[in-house]
Amino acid sequence: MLSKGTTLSVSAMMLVLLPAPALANAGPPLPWREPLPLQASLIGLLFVLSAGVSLSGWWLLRRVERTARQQREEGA
Amino acid sequence: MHGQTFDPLLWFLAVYIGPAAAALGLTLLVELSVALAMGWRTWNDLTGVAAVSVITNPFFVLCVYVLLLIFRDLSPLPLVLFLAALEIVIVLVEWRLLRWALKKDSRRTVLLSAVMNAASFAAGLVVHFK
Repeated sequence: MLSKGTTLSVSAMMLVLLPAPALANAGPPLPWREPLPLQASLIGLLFVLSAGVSLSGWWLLRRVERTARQQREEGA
Repeated sequence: MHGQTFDPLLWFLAVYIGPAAAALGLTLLVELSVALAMGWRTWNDLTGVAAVSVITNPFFVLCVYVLLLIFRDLSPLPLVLFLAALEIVIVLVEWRLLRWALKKDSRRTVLLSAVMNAASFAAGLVVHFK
């Protein structure tokens, strides 16, 4: 169940994020094609920070799951 | 910027981190309130609700940033439609995560996920388009 949940969440995130480059080619010129590539670097940094925050949430959720499982076993 | 030097770190904090942190705070406030109102009262349940929001919200905000960077002059309707589609994905992901973590039945967790995400989406729209 754990691996299914992980796979589902990662797949969903990738489904959302993967079309971005395709959309970029279809749209107007991107800010990072301009001489100043600052925005692309900062979006990359934001991606890393987002992943870090999400991982902390995942760590918290695993603790919640462990507690819920223990409560269920004690109740059974 | 006359007479001032450009500080990329300050700009990054003001343009990206500040609104992202505000969005996460607003989401947590709305979703925890909805969970409480729907009868999810134990500390473990509420921690689980907060945790799934912390997992999904940063990527939602990141998608919004990327979208607004690509389409700077995007009109409100396509933006709202894209965000609504993204929110549906998030409802499904959060439902599965909540069901797994809280060991509660599927109907209760899907209802919680749908209602709390609808509420936070509405709150986000109000803040964004106010």
